[in-house]
Amino acid sequence: MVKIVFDNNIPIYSQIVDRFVIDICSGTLPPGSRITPVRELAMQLGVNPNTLQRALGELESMGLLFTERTAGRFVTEDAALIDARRREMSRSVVSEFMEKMRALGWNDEETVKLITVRRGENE
Amino acid sequence: MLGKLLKLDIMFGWKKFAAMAVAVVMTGIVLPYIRKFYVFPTWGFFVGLCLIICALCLYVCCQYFKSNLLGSEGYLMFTLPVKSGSIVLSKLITAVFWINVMFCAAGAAVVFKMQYTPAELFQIISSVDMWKRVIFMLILCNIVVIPIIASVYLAVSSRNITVKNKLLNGIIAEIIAVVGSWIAIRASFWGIELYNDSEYYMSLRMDSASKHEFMTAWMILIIGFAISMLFTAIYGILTNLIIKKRLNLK
Amino acid sequence: MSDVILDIKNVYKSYGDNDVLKNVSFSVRQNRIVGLLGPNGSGKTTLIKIISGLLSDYSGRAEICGMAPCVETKALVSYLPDRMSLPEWMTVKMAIRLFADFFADFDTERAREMLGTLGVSPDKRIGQLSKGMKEKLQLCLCMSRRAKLYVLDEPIAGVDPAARDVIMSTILGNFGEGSSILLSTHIISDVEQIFDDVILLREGRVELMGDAEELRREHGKSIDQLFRGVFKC
Repeated sequence: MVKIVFDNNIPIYSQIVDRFVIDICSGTLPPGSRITPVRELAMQLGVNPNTLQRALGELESMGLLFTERTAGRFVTEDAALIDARRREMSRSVVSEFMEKMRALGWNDEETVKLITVRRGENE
Repeated sequence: MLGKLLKLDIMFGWKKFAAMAVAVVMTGIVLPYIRKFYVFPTWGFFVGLCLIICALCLYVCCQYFKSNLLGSEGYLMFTLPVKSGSIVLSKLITAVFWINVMFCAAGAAVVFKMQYTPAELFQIISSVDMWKRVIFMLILCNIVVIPIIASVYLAVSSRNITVKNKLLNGIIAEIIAVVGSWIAIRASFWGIELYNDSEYYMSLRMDSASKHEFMTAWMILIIGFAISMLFTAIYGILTNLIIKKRLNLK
Repeated sequence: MSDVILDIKNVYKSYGDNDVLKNVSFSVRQNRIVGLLGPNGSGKTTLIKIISGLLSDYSGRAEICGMAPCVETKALVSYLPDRMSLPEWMTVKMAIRLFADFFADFDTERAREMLGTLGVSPDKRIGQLSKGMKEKLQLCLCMSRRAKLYVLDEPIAGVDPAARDVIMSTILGNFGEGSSILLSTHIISDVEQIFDDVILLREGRVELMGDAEELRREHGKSIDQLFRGVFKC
């Protein structure tokens, strides 16, 4: 897991949760893959194991992770769930973006055109 | 635990002390040869050297006590799961051990200096009386030296009690060391002076002196030693108390 | 069986007229990493000395697993001093053997492994090591004990930022199950994410204490910012 740069002004565990959600949604953490044990992972991330435990617990209650008693923690294999979460997150990213563009004075069609042009430049 | 502490304390200084002991023995070997070329009071020189080495020995022991317990190393020593009494006792035993090693080295040096022929040497070694006298001298030296060590340890520890006036502390510490040593040694020799008779000293020189005298001299020596040990124990207990109750590492 | 490893109650300590600790009370539970925070001179080191058994002249109660500091508690507490406490004439190997000799809970294999990872050569004399190496050595020896309470006095002060990460992960990776850590530091921002609970000492008094995440959520600030705020007034 790539090192997270934490913002100490907000609870750490929620930042860990967010990062895991992103990694799971993007496929960086593939469905069914094993999560590094808490102590080791806490050491890698430089966080308190209890904080990490709390974050993982929350991810479990979200359904994104599950624990198999002897084998450890794994990413869910429920592709539909992952997809749903991905879409939900994307939706909020898009709304945020649209809001920012509107604040700059663009309407929605102009915004889409700017995106297309940008895509063209990238290719 | 005491054994482990002893191992540690001996490991610290053995090179220094071994070097000093070797120096003393070498002096004994070398002096007669020097005398052949240059006449000078070799005995006076030798005794002077022994006294200096003895003082050096004491100094090294006390420096070690100070730096190991009251300096940065104290942060290690006092977090070890051992009683502070064991720590103090270990330092005392090591000091006594090294002093006696020095005495033995001095004895060996004397033998070398006398340049006995093998026959004479054999005669001396097999003489029980000779060994009695050697042990007598050794115990006598210990009676003097051990309370000095204990009272210096007490003095060094007492410097640590209050933080207020460093100069005053230093002076009080010196007074404790000197007075403490003097009282202990005086008390030990009180027992010996009871037998205020030159015959007692004679018995040291003559092996044909009446055994009765010599036996009595031994009893008095033992009493003197007991008194000396009593004072050492008192100083040791006080040192331990200071360290236990008033430890204040900087 | 209480899970309180360290209990400090109404501890006072003064040197003559100078009150260094005034009515300090807090407790440390099992499996917690607690930060003892505050500027230099706030009494952190004095409190730590009391816990480690280096200071016996204080009033109040300091109990480790229910016992006042004594020979038994020294076997339960692994102390990392803020200065070099190992004899300079010893080699690293001798120092390991010293710890193994005196502490029943010392894990020699682990110590050797850790020192290898950190690049400390076992045959070198301690006096020959650089300052950073000496600190790493002390940290290794401290963390190789399977103690109930690890008391670390300023482990990252005077350490360059690159080495700080190494030290923090050594600490995190090595404290045993069922143990707790009491870490004192005046550098809060780099390390606050490892604390479960934090205690702020100012001029010998407990100004603030609590669960780190709760404090972040409640005040909307980092612990570092929170403490700076406290010191402004």
